[in-house]
Amino acid sequence: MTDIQITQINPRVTLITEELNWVKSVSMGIIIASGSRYESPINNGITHLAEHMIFKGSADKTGNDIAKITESLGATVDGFTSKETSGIYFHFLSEKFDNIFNIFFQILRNAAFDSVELEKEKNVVLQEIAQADDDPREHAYELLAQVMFPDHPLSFPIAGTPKTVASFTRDDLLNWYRFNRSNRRICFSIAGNIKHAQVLDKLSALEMPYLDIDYWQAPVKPNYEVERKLIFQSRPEIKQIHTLAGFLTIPYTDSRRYGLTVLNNIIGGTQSSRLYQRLHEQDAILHYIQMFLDLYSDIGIWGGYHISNQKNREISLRVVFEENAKLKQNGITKDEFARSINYCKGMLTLAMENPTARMLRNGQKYLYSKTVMTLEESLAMYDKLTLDEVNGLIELFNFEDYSAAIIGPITRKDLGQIGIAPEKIIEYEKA
Amino acid sequence: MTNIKVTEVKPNFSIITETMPNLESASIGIFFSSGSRFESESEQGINHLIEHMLFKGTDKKNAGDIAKFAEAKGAVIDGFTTKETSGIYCRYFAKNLDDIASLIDEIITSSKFDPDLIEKEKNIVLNEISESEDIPHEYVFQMLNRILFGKHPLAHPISGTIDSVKKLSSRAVRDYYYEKFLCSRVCISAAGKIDHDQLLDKLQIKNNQLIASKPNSTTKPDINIPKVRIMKTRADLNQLYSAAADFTFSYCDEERYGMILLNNIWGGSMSSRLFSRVREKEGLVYSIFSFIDLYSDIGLMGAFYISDPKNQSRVFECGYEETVKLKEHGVTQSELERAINYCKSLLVLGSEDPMSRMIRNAKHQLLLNRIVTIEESIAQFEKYDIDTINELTRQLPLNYAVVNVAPVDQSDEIKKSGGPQNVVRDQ
Repeated sequence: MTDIQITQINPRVTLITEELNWVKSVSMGIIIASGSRYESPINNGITHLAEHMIFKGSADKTGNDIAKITESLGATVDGFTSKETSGIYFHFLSEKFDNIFNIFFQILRNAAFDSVELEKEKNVVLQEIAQADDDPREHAYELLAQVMFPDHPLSFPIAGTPKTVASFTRDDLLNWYRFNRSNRRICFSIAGNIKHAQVLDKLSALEMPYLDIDYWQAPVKPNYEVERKLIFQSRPEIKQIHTLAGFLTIPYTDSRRYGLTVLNNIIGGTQSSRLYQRLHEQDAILHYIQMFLDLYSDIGIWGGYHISNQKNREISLRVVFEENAKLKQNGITKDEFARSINYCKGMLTLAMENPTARMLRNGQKYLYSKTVMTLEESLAMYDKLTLDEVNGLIELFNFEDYSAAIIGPITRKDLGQIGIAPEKIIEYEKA
Repeated sequence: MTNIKVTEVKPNFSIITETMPNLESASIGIFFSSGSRFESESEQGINHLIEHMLFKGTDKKNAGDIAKFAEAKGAVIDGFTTKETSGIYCRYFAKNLDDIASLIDEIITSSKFDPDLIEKEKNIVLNEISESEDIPHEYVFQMLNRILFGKHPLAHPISGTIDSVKKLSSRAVRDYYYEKFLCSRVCISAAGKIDHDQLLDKLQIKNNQLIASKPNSTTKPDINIPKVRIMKTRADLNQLYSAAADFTFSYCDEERYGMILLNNIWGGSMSSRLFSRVREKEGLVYSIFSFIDLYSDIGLMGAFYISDPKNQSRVFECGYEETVKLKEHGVTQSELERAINYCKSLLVLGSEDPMSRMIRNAKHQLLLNRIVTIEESIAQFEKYDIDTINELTRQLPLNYAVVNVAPVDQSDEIKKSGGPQNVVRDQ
């Protein structure tokens, strides 16, 4: 049993609470419609660095003070930056609500962005970037975004590049932070053992500076007709090849995404899926194969990730084409359809037992669509689907159009059979 | 005031439920006291392969049928293998208890271990092993265990080695399952929306004669093993990955609560000594933390960081200095209070979902032979004062083994930083 309540604090700021009766804890976050896609080639990485700097000190507290105070209150604190939203959140026992609320707003409103601390934190972020590139699993996603969204901010690495990060000054950060605070849509989202009125009381006591408009800066639209490309990184030192392939699809705001999730699971999202059964169970050539949907506000990537050796990489590609042809010809079965719906509903419900997952879901959904859906409403979206409707979405599975990122012990000559023109195959080189 | 019920089916075999209010789901797991530390040299990886094979087919279902059966119920089913326990678990909706209990019964009692499928699955596992060796921090922790435990089976990687897995025969896998895995100590644990008597009623497995008929025995590792340093060069990397550790208390020592507090103060939190010095104050790294790995008769305590290779000496010096300072001067009163508050809260926050309760209860039952309530764990943290915690602080590890992976060979820099001088290059 849950209860979602929404109060519009001002045209840009919304409070959403969801009371959960099976937990003692509360998850409280501020999520803002800002992320790496709102950046430019010059300030790429500034949202992420600003998120780091919030924890590095306020007018009267050092970063270490903030850590000590929150830990003494038994709270965990975390932040995230994605391409379209970013946020900061605390998870704690409900009796500490007042204390956490106070410290939360103190650090947000008085963030110091001290220049000495900034120089140190820039170096920390440079380490973060360097180590993410070491891990083929993370690096592959960065590389795919580069070929899917050429020259568009959606291709920017979230943490920025070593060059942009090194260039940021205190003024750059302060200006960015102030602009975001006073212009972008903000959602204050709370889920757990808490009442709406209690939060509203605390929030109403605060002075809320805002411009009297709902300034929704529509992001620059990406190019929907991208040229197919392949980017690869040759790493003879590792044994396995990481292949990430994808093509463009519908955005998060398109209601067909429920049907698409159901279809994605049938093709390659679960253990009973066609690709998993074929490549993992039947042929036993892949340890890891996973299809995914990565959806943004105006576009999405539909793709798959697999890890294999060279011989099996070629076989897998053939198998995906075979399954694609079968799917286009015969569609999905009633059994697959019914099972996938139950699976989607099950995964969503189990994930939503956690207050932090609820808090993030409500906040991010609201920023995208200005509405919140209860879990029950989302489950009903799955129940409403028909077999014909999901079969109708098969035409969106444009695997023929895929672009890819490959990392592993390979060279250009291993990529002959990939079906992409040789001049569209680019070798990634470390900066 | 607890919602925990325990039924001892027979010695070494218990069924535990913990009822949690207002939930619609539950988690159930069957935990066997079997794992990589019970394996001989040639058996390395056999428990992990068995875990995989438990999803490859029973008398009535093939692998696809098992996956379909669970997914159609909106349930998640998976297996796990650790050094000391292995098993399968399921997160499901309470209304599907009958189906889930019968699926678990079926998997445990009638898995086929088809020789052809075992050969296929070995290939999958070989890929899994080389994939994890490619990831630098996974390699570092695996190698650290190997050098600290030497010839003892705790040194074995859980998935086995490329060599050992290739050589496992399908006959050996099947025999191991029936003669060792199934016969070891067992705990079935469930938490969430669950009724104890109803569960007992549904589980046919409780009548299985093999279960818990011949518990595994094990030997203690030699903690006087000479400490070595390993250097591996990987030209494709940007960063240096370094882990160091020494032995500490076991999971069965009461002092483990103190070690959790101490770990929190040393490098386990944002306010910790290592984090605030090396990351906050010096800005040298993004990742640095201390850790404890506790087994039934021994534990490891150590630290890990990732840095620019050219900062290796500086990071090491700062970390070492903080560790010596902590060891010599002890923790402060306010640090202790903060760590107690934080650890208590983490425990409660981390126990709100059925899955973590289910795991916690099973682990206690198998390793300690009894259930420890959250309230009791909280009281264990609270009993520490500045004197008792600083008894432990004096035991912080300074005689450690080290594993480094970096784009360039740094054996000389490592030697300069003191400690054991025998750097071994892993090619």
